[in-house]
Amino acid sequence: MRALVSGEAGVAVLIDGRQVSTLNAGASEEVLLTEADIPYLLADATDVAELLDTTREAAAVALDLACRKDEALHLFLILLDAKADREAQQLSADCLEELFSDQEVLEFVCNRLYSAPLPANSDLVAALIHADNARAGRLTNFLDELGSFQPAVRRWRESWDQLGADLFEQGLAQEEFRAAVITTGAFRRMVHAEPEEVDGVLLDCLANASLRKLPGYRRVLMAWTAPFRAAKARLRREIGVEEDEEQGKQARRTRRRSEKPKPSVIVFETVNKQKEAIKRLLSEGKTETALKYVEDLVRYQGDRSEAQDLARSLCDLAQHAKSMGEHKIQLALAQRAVQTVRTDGWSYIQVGDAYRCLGRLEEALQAYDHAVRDFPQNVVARTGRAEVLKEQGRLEEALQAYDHAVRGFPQDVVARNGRAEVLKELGRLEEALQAYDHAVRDFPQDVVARNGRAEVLKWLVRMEDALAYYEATLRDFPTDAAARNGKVSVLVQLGRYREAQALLPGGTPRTRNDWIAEHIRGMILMKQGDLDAAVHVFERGIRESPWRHSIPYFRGALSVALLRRKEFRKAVEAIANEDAPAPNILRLHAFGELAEIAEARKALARVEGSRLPRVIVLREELAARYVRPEAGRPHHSDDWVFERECDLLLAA
Amino acid sequence: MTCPNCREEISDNERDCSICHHDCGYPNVRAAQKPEEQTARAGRLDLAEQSASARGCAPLMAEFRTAVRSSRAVLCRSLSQVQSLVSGDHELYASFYQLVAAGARRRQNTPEDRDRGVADELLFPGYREHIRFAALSLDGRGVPHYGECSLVLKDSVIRQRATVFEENSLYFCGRLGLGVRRPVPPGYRATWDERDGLAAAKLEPKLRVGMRAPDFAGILLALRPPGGEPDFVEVHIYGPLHRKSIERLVIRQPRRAAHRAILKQLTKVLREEVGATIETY
Repeated sequence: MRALVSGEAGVAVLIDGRQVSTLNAGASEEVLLTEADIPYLLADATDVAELLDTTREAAAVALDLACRKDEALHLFLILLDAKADREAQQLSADCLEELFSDQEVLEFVCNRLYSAPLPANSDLVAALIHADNARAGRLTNFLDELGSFQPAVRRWRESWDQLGADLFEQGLAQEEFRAAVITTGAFRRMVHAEPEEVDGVLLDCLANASLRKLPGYRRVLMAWTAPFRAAKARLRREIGVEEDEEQGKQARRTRRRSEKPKPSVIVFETVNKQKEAIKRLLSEGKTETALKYVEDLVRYQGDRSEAQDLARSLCDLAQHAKSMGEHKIQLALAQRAVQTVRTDGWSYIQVGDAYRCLGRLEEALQAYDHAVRDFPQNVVARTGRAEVLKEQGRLEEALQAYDHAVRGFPQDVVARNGRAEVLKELGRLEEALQAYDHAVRDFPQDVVARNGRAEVLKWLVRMEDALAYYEATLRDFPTDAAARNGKVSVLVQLGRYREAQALLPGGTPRTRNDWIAEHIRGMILMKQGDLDAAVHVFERGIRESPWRHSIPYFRGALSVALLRRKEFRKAVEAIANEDAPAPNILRLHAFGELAEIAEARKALARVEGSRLPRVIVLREELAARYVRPEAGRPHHSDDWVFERECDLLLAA
Repeated sequence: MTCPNCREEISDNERDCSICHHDCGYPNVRAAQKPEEQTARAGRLDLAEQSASARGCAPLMAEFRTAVRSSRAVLCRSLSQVQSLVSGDHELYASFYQLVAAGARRRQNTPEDRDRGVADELLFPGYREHIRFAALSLDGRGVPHYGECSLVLKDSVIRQRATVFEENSLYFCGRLGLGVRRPVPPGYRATWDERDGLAAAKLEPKLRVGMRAPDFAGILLALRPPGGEPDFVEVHIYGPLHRKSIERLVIRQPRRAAHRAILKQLTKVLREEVGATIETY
């Protein structure tokens, strides 16, 4: 009996004289057919093996093995495919662990995977994660090794591809030879070989019966391995001929092995790739998938590295989520980090930061308090706490906290900038300017300090100075979006709208600075008299901006637009419950127009203590109009008030 | 035949005129359109119609022909073969000769390969490497012994270049003892649009009074009891098939985990990249 066996087709054709029957993979019964069916049975299979003088049982065993090899290869390719179905990949990992328990199957896949570099669409990291989820040790090792040998695979493959066609006797021989070096494992063995082992593997190949029957086998194999044998010779010369051969071998082995990534390096690289993938997904707005990947990261890194390292990874991702305005995810990641290591101060700081970004200031303060208590030497905990106090409007306490931080950590620029910022909020502008001057002197490369200084100049209404300072900053930091926005806002206040518009970014706003730019765009429209378009921009900002801190600016601007339209009730509603100098000025204006003097007085009381020049001029004008008419001060026009209100918002 | 453009003679195996490079049509389609083929086929159909009338099956035969006009070409492959075939934007179905030429499959020089070479040369002289085989089906299912996946091809991508043949061509040649000086007799092949006439001429004896439309699928593609060959109308398609030639995949729900994984991935590719549907039973 003869048999034609194909794992790809999943069939063994048994031919006994004129009788033809088939065995199908997974089916126990034999099906009687005819010779005419054979082309259909084997169709375009490329792995047909002919067994001569065989038996039905032997053919069944050969079929089973051929099918398992074929399945393993397919499942492995699915596992590696970056675009594959995740469920299919997980199932593949489960199955492969079992299939790889058979050494023949493992070698079959190995022989093929080591014959060419992994394609661009393969994702080894995701494959490792699936293997890890499946608790598939054999598969994980295989993937780890496959990844670490990619440079060698690439070198051997390049050497093969560079073989000239003249080495082969006929056109088809080259392809046939390539198939043979793959299926015999020659490729895999060469890739695995140390430099001093190449000759040995070459000798084995020269003796291999499958390769020997190919025309010109010696010539082809010698040419293929030539670059590697030459490298070995160079290595020997470098080491020196007088060196003892054994010592030399040992040294080369050590050197060679040291080139291969250690397992810890592989874990580090894998984790980094996982993090990159998660960050990419967050940037693309695919949060659901990103969170699934986070679970994979927690499982993978949790099993392989210190809990502290995993917490750091989660905190890093939390910071990225923050930069994308995904504050709920930022909080979830930070809380996960705290759960991972309850003694990690950095994780508590991240939780505090996330709560602050979400506007949950009391919870933020608690988290920072916890961090300051347990990690008093952590300046980030202290500055974070001070920042929360500032946002709560507890400016004096915030200043004390910053003073404390600056005394303890004079070289921390964040503490220095934070202190200067609180001084500005308190209206102590000259002190703020001095604090920023010192920060810029001590930290000339800190762009935040430079932008902070320019902001103070704006509040001091030194517009030309502010513009010059922003321009100088942009020369040193040409891509800094905050400096660009600062310059644009000054240009708008100077009425140079066209120049301002030219500097604004295009596209859909995403980052915090994008939304600030959007606010400025609306302000330009409003100042140019296109109130409808401006209102549209502001309402969209209130509705869509993920940046809590940008919302008051949009609310204030919308209120100014509504005041301009004389829709005073709506102007009050637009401000909502914001409680800062600018919204209180707008409240005073709106309630004054509505003749609700008691409410206007309340708003006035909240800005009575302000030392900010832009607030003072408006406060006095509006108070004289609506609350203290007896003072008899000359009134400015509505246009004057509108312009000053716009400038107040642009300076904020 | 002469080239309609330059009036020079062209060989039966040539698609483009070697003089003016005018596209003279697919060789298999031209072969089925030859007058002697049409005459012989018409004669067979006439006899079948007479027989059907005599047996009171004329309306049933008309109904059968209507059904066959909506039949599709179906390829059967294993799950793993289908996964390979649809995994890239390359040619879907490489013919055996092209696989050998590309070195992907080594010619075994088995008696079966030799028989196949003879039969294919008889049917497709000089262009056998361009022909892909399929079976005609009414329900989307092919011959299960040939592979658990039935790939139903889009009518629009094969209509112009497909022809149909009486049965498995290798079986046909063996059964009639065809070979040197014994060419394929006329009347057993037809163009795609005339497949209903060929199927009716062949299968009229199987039509019985009382049969209904759902029975037609099992007549057009019959699975005989063990020991007999599957009987179907063979489809010959000239030229390559792209994965976007697939209209749907019909497959039995797999039981093994490995096959479930492959099918899961296959489903994603077919739906998202190919635009095909999947039907499990």
